[in-house]
Amino acid sequence: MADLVTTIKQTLKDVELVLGWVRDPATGVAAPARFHTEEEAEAAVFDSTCVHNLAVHLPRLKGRRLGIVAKGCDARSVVELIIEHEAEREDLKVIGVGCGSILDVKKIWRRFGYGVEIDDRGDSLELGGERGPREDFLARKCHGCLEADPDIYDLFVGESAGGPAGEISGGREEPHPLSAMLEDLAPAERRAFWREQFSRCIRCYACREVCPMCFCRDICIMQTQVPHWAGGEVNARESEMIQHIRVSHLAGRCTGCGECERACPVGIPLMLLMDEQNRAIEDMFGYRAGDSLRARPPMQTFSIEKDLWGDEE
Amino acid sequence: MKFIAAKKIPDLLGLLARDARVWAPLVPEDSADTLLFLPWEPGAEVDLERFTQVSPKKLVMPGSEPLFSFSYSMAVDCERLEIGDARGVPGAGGASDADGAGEAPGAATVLFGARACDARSLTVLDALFGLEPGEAYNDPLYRARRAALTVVTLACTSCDAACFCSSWAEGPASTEGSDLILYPVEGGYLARGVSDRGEALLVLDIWEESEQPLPELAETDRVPFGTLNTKLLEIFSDMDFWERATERCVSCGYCTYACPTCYCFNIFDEMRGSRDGERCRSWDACMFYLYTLETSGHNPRPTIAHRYRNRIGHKFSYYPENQGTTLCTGCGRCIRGCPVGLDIRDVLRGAGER
Amino acid sequence: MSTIPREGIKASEPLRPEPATVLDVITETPNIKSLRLAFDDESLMQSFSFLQGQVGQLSVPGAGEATFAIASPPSQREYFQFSVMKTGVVTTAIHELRAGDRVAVRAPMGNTFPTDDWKGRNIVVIGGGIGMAPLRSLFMYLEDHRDDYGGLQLIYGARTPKDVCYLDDCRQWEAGSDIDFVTSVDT
Ligand SMILES: Cc1cc2nc3c(=O)[nH]c(=O)nc-3n(C[C@H](O)[C@H](O)[C@H](O)COP(=O)(O)OP(=O)(O)OC[C@H]3O[C@@H](n4cnc5c(N)ncnc54)[C@H](O)[C@@H]3O)c2cc1C
Ligand code: SF4
Ligand code: SF4
Ligand code: SF4
Ligand code: SF4
Ligand code: SF4
Repeated sequence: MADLVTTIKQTLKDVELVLGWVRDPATGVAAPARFHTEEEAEAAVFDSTCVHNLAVHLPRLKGRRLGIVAKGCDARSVVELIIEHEAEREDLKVIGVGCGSILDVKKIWRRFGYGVEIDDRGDSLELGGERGPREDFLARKCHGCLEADPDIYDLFVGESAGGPAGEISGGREEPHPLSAMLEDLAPAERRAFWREQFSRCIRCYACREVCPMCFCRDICIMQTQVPHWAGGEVNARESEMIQHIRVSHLAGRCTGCGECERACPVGIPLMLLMDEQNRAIEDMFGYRAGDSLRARPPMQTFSIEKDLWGDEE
Repeated sequence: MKFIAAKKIPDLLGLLARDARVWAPLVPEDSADTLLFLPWEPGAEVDLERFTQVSPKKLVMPGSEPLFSFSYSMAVDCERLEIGDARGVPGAGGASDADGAGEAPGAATVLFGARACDARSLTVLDALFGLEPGEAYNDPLYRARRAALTVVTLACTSCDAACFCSSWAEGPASTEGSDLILYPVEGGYLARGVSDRGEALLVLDIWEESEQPLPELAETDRVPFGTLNTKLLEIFSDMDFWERATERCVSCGYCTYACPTCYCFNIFDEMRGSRDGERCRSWDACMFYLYTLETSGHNPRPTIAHRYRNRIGHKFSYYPENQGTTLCTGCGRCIRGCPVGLDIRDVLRGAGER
Repeated sequence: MSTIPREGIKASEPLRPEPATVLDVITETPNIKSLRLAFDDESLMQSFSFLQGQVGQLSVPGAGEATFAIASPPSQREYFQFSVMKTGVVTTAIHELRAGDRVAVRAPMGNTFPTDDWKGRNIVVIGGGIGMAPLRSLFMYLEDHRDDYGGLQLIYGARTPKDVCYLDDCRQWEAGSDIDFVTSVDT
């Protein structure tokens, strides 16, 4: 990681702090960190356990000069945050990293126990001594990876992927594993499916707090008592309702980073909802959040002539 | 000693379910990597190997519950007011149960497959809520559920890197809060009654006798608490420490909601139409900004660092001071499930070294 | 905790408030109103007792419940008083109430002042703005037990003259010969 460490140190000459990862000695996997000094930067790592999307910290740090280490998918969030003025391009030094797809660490821990030794061989995976196909433990978002290289960066570390990570890792662009099942269900059965899923929700709002685009956070209407938009009870009905609020607030803004589903402690397949909406937005407006700094987000753009009356006179 | 073969566990659950609602570690449908305490039904396969992501505390303190119903309208006539019976008071009837536990408070419930840390957490909460009327904070709903709860604990012969219950005297061998303990051995489980209620279960016609010795229990990580309780007070204003220690935290509610000992709640009114409503309470957590936001707009815990400091201070300093016991049993859930890998032990050790 | 009386609350139902009726509403300042209340249950009202400085929870069902100091002295058996500053949802609802309206109350709760330890000493009570509410109860208690204490001084400050609460009481305190009453305003 000499390259990464050097790059972070170099960036620190220009910024207040750099968002990146360190290795947690207890588990051996990466955990988010902030590097304030060159000495601290010595601990920086990047590997296939860097699952977190560090862009989530940008809105809270707005106004400060920052560096951020970003995978391809993370950079999409950075782009979207800049478009929405939650981060200023001039204040940011983006350190792009070449990503060869990342692992679903939570899934590994839940199957093999927290802290199990993870030995990623690149093409296969050894977990606590047992070897298995790496693909089984790939983060789901990597199967649908759009671009493993960040779209915007000031400095780049590692090998360029030159395309979606799925291709290099042997993964495939594939829909959510549950979506085919859900397609086959009658509307009433679908409703029952979601009720069942949301009956587990504990309203911890981890889905919201890890979402880079849910930056209302402390004043999010899923939670405020004033105004009392959403009921305060913890039950399937309310949880489904607040998640629908969240999903719709992310229309045309969700970059598909998968953090909400990853964070959900009770395993609700939140990305099923996001994917569905993202697909609809792409079909309708040809827009994918995070594609380009110059793009105009459809839900935040309104021109009377065109949108209301159409192109014709 | 009494023994039950592993394959007869479903039969045992079936017997328990005759007189009570049984909650056990189950994998929810379509979510193979999740393990939660869920209502057991015949045919459901309990997982007695892995750890659950959320503690079973909702059996004594549901995620939300109505307290009483009312009928009142500010807009129409403030002279008319009806207040329904309090819920959870034996014989009072009261509002319907919508607490997700699916049973009125006081209905017989068995918690099956709790670990020693989970069972012990109940006694930690008892110190606050009280087991007898008028005791401590006197919460009749908690009391009713607690009195109706039988805890069948699964002793830990193995643990993972997040467990740290050995930091307390008895560690995995603690019997506090358990009624019956199952010890995994070759082919099944040895059973030991801890309370009268647990002993009574040993009368069921399902147990065999076994000569096997009790297994060796797990030895977990230990956090040296020492004088941490006073240390935490000393470094209360050391914001530099708190900020650095919590930099990666995103201030969600997972660690507190998953925790078997966190008990904070919020009380609010929900209207069911224009006149009728219910006063409810739901879990709340000190990691949320809104938890301490005052009406004036002032927030004494404006940043994540302030809030996390409270979480640590309450658990390891103020609660021990007020109730005589740490508000943590070392179950490790907050460590395993934190979306950003913040390990409470690192913060505790860091505080100790400060 | 067992030393603190809880006569207004049934031990079996501590979370359920008791219906009460607004007897009187006094407009103290542009944003503070005092409400004088009595429990509807007469026997409860008779047994209701509290210590100076304790608080109650006042509910306007639908809006919610909020904490207020009991501003009347324990010797006042006809009613108990809350003085409420209008700030948010519940307090706004409270400000809309009129005499005859019904609300719900859980009281008493919380702690008291260690007035027994103060016996024989000179007492200075210092308060400001709406923070005067529990001190009104305390000061009136001290006046009720005037012989137990030495000099009694009350220093009361408010932001502006129109924010001074309890004007009628102030006039009496000012006129009183055996208490020293000092007011101050910021502007
Ligand atoms: C021990 C104790 C004793 C007290 N004694 C007294 C007393 O004697 N007298 C007294 O006046 N107060 C007293 N208080 C304070 C009193 O409890 C609060 O003022 C009261 O709880 C406010 O409740 P609320 O529902 O009106 O505010 P809330 O509505 O609960 O306000 C909650 C939050 O919502 C925000 N908010 C509220 N309304 C709006 C709105 N319309 N639009 C946007 N945001 C809004 C507020 O900023 C606040 O942060 C006491 C408090 C305590 C703890
Ligand atoms: S759900 Fe909506 S209101 Fe809440 S944080 Fe997300 S975008 Fe904001
Ligand atoms: S993360 Fe999961 S459990 Fe938590 S609020 Fe979101 S959907 Fe519910
Ligand atoms: S420590 Fe982890 S689980 Fe707890 S609030 Fe912070 S991010 Fe959430
Ligand atoms: S603080 Fe963490 S380890 Fe301690 S009891 Fe709570 S969830 Fe378990
Ligand atoms: S740590 Fe926080 S949420 Fe948990 S009991 Fe303490 S104050 Fe409540």
